[in-house]
Amino acid sequence: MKNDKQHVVDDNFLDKLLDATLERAGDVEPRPGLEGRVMARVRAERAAGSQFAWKWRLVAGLAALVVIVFTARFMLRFGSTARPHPAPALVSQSRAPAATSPATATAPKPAVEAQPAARPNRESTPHHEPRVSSRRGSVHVASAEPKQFPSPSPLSDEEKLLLHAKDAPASVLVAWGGNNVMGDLQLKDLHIAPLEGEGPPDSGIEQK
Amino acid sequence: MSVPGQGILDEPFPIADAPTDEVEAAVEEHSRLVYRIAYAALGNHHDAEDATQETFLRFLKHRHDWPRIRDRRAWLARTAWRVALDLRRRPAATSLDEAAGVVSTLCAAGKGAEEIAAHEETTALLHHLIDGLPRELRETLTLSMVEEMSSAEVGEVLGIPPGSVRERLWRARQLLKEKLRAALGKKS
Repeated sequence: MKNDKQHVVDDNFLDKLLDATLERAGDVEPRPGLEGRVMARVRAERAAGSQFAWKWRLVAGLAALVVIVFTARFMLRFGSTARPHPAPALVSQSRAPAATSPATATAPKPAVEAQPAARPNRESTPHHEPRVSSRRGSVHVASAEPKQFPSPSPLSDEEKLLLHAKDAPASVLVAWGGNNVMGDLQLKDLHIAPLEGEGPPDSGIEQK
Repeated sequence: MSVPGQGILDEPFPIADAPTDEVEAAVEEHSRLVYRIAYAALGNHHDAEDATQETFLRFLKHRHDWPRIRDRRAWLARTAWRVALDLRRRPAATSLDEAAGVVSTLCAAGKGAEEIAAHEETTALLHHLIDGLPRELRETLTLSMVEEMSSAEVGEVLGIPPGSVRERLWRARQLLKEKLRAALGKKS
């Protein structure tokens, strides 16, 4: 009986002790100035964070600048070398028609002399494909830069005639002053040839 | 004679940092609660203050989430609890046997429950005994030790309904009393 009573007392005492201990453990007061210390830590952390953010932004900006500069240099260096030079043949082709005389404009359309195998950069620069010039009469693809610009072209018949006229004596030139000089000469030559028993002359001009 | 726009001119220019102001307001309002939760979990002032500072730093870091935080008090309580659990690595200054010996001596001397509970060794013994509880009971009892926290708030921190909190508290007290009896009986 006494043991049971002692057990009950102990149980009550333990309950009281437990309640009191739990209450004290929960009823703890922070040391004075807790709010100030917390705020000081928060401000310090915030200042450090903002400095870190500025440094990070600065580093990121510099890195971006370096990347841009290197990219620009790379593009300038390799872009200039990688860009296909216009082939010399293409230059000569594109500019040669301007050098030809207007007299050749009516020349018949010739056969193409150059072969497609001689065309560099055909896929990369399709607009630079060698073209068949209807004015020049032929396409010549040069493998090197022409030594003379504009490229020399063969003389037309009229130009050859002028060269002969330059070497002719003045009396002949005076005789050619009329409108039908050529016609008269041709008639004269044609008229003379059968009398001498010879074949028809090639040209009256050559006999003179 | 009033000047047009005088009201605007009289208003103080907002030079203060808004997030810091908000944190300051939260510190003034909830630092006590945060500290007590940390102390309940850690059992010493130094670690509890570290946990309190860390809790408010996390609050500042999550400032982008402030509009979505429905209950700041509950958010801070939950964060303080997690921070305290992370910091809870230091071994207790007083061993279980040492604390139990002191409390047993006080009981044998006929001291009252309040007087015995005031001793540091009694608190240390209690923390040792609470540490021996199953995790769900230990967490519920520790959070319930904080005066300001109701069963609903404890349940919100732990993610359990208030009824479960009360049930766990009852079980925890029964286990704790058995352990206390065993500790004191072994020493007496």
